[in-house]
Amino acid sequence: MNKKIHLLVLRDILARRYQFGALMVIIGLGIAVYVCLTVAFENIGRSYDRTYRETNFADFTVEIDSAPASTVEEIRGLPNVEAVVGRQVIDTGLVAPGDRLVQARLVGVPADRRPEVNDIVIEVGRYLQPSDTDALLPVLAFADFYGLKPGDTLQVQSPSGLKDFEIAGIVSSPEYLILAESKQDFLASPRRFGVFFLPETRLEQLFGREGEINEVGVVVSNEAAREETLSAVEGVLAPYGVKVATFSEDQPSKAATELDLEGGRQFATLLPALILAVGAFAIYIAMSRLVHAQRTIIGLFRAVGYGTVAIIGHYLLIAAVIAAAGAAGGIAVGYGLSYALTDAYAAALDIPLVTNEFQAVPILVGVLVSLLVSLVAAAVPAWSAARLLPASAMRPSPEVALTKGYSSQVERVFALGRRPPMLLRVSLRNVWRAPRRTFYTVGAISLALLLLVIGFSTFDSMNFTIDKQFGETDRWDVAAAFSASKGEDSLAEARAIDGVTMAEPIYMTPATATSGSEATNVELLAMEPEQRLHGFDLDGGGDAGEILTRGEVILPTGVADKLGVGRGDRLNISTGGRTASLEVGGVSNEAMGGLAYLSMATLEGELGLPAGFNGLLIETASPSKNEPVQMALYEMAGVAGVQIKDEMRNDFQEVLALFSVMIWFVVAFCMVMAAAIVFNTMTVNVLEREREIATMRTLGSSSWFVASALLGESLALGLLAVAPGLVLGTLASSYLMASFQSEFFSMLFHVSTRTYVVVASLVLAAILVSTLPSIRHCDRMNLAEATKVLA
Amino acid sequence: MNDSTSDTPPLSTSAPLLDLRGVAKVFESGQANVTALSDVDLAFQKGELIVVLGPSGSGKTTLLNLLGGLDRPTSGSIAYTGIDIATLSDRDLGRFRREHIGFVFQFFNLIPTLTARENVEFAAELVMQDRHSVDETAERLLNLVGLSERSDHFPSQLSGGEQQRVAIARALAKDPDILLCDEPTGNLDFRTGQQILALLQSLTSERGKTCVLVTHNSAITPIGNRALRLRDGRVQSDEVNSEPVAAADVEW
Ligand SMILES: Nc1ncnc2c1ncn2[C@@H]1O[C@H](COP(=O)(O)OP(=O)(O)O)[C@@H](O)[C@H]1O
Ligand SMILES: [Mg+2]
Repeated sequence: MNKKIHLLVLRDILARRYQFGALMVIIGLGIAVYVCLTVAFENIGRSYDRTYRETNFADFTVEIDSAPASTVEEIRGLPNVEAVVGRQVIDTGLVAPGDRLVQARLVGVPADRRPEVNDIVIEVGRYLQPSDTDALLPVLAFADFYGLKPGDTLQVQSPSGLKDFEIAGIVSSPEYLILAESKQDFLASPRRFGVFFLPETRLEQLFGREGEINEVGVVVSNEAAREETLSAVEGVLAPYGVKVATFSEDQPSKAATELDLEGGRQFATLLPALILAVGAFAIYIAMSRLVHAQRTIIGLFRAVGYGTVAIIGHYLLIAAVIAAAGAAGGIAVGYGLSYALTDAYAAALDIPLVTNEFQAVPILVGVLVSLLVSLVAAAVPAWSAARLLPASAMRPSPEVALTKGYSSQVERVFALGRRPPMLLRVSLRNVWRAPRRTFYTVGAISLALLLLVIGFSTFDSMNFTIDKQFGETDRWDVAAAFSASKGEDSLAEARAIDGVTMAEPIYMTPATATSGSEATNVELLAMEPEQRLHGFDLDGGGDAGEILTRGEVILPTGVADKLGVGRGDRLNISTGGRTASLEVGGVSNEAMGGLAYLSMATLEGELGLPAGFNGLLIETASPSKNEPVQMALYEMAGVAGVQIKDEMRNDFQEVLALFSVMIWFVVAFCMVMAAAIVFNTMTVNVLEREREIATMRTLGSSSWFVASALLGESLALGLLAVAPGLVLGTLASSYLMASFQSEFFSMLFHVSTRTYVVVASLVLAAILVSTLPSIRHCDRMNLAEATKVLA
Repeated sequence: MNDSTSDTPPLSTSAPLLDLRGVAKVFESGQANVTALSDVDLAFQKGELIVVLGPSGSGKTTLLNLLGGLDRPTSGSIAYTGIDIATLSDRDLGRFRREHIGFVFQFFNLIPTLTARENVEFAAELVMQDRHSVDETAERLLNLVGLSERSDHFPSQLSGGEQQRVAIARALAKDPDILLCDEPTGNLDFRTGQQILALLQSLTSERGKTCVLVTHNSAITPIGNRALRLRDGRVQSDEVNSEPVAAADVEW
């Protein structure tokens, strides 16, 4: 007996194939996005892991001033050390094609064998040979940017002038999957920064550091004991001036890839969750309508003896069919697209060793989630169907009453206190008459608005952050870094360069900041308290110069949050084997983190660093002077790199432009979603009200009146959603933005008024357009038929 | 202008209000065509109350729909004061309905979101511009159908008979020449039905409206001054009743 009622499932679905088709598409879309993003990001994560594993990525790295190469063998003998590498890493200048001077990081590697730790992957050409002397291996991102190939020549700046090196091969390095120069500059563009692997003996000889190393990388056998091993290694290196030790997860490129993956994973959950929520709303509305339309049939089935379970089962089965169809399509499409996404992503980020393994879990989750969403959404309508008493079910449906809770005061408000016109009354009361449907529709439109606010406010925040960082925080035009400490004469030399209007000395050195159990690596940036080229924006005000003069530190928001400290707290700063306890004098709102500011005097006095400076912040007379000044600075002795702020800003914007493609995708998607949900609701509304609409037309109302009433109703639904959508969107966006914050970069949250206006207009436009099919339906209605329809 | 209050129905002495010539209506549904009406020649005069009788499926509703401009005949002409409405554009047909026709449906078809008064105002606003006459019309008509007390109730708060009286008030709000009523008492109890019929009767005899009243209940026949019987889409008989009976005196 139960079989027969289930046969009706197919018929019910076929009879409403467009509406149910639309539901399957929404569910399918949610599942497809989920499966595609989840599988792709899992694969990308595994590809990273594989790359790190196969290249023997260091568990920690220790930077030192200079140590004899023989210390490597001493470290190898320590317990828990599985592999170790000691090498020279030197920052200098390099002449790229087009005679451009760029910052080059030169890394020494053995020519007769592969490095034991932090190996590289050969993408084009070959590895070094013992016979190679003036050969080098640039990283892929740099080679791609300048169109380099094996056999091309590059000029490396050395103490003895420019030297020609020939490219033997092009490589990927696990340390530079994202071309991060440092934690402070993790979005370096290959336009101005490159990494090059050179034969170590040649590198040492070129820079006069034979038999020396300034960096040690270690792979441990037991990761749990890496802290003790690090201490032991630091013990061995202590006599040679330990600068900073970095665990693999803090390594700039790895930290950046992790952050990137984290963002991707969040997106992979958030976006499908929102789509499926909308799908649930739509299923609820459609199923309620189906139950309503079928009340006489339900009554009949009840009358001939079908039980509650059979009736509920019937409607849940319909929902399950929608879920199954949606999941099947969504999984097929999503899984297919995941390969494309993984490959595109891997190609864009130059991940050398890509893994594309079959993953069953996202598929299983996809099936379960789509079933869950559909069944939950259909549960209430199904239950209400089962509760219908046969007698009342078979009576024609009662007209919806407006007796309870409706206040005509609302109309008066809309009519500005005057007597509300008929059109307004009809529109507004229709919004009220099916309150639950209105609630869910408004909820779904709000979600679309929420997504749009997130999308657009991301643009706003990015632009705001860039403006703040490059406009208010960094007030210099050109910055130079030196490989050794410089004195007054160098400062005078820089100030004398044509086009330089101001030059301020800074001293930068890596350090570890600790507060309680929290520790983080920072770059100490020491400056004169009266400096003008770095703009502080202190939480709660205060004068940065005075704070620095008092010997206190200023932390960027990201670092302060990471350490859990605020103004007045103390923290320990260790560098070069010395530790000082300093008070936090202020927290500065700035995007770039990974820094700690203090005065030159504090650095010398408390931490024992030598007097002098190793960096210059420079203001130029005009942007056209930037490049000549850069060239002139590179002529100075010991210059490791010269950056032009406008170029950094451009690099940043380029990276963000890529990101914006994704946001536009979300924007388009949201508009379709808002339109789909309103289409669904208005279609159901109009079908349900065919008789009264036909009656209006029969009485002589114009099509214009009917169209206006429907548009008014849609508009009212949209307007109801605008406030909650914009508010929730703002909250969700600020939450998301906060979760993107890390110790070395904070996106500064910002929403412009323009965003609110644009988002609301886009959604309202989508809503009005999606009402057009319903209007057309009413226009073409057969009045003779529609007025006699029973209920 | 009240020249039709006499007992005798106005015969073809003056030009007819509605004049049907050779009207046929064929519904094309797949291969099988259904002929709902054929060879219909009829003329209706001002002030007539025409009772249209016939078994289910005989074409009664189809006839009303054609008269009211809800549908167009397959062939033939329907002239309203000499103008063939079958040839009017959709827009003009809409205006014809708005200005000349009042519909009363078997299932009332009140707009559920509007109160009794607003339902009447809705129709009144279609033909009147000024607020004051709309208010006055609604007040007067609800009074006429005896519902001034319930004017702020929504349809769901009214009984079937009350709803039908609101529907009649609504039909009258535009002051149409012609009232088309499809089984107006079909869903009402006997006593309520009687009240509705009495109302329709007074509208024709005292206000000169032309009323076409469709029913399958032959007991109602004597209240009209003309009885039209349909069978299989044809006019079977068309009889004048020179002595209509008051609605209060019929029983079924
Ligand atoms: N839209 C339509 N399509 C097809 N056939 C119709 C349609 N409307 C009415 N008919 C047919 O026309 C005939 C007359 O119908 P109708 O005028 O509704 O009869 P009555 O009102 O007298 O019961 C019936 O056979 C009916 O089935
Ligand atoms: Mg009928």
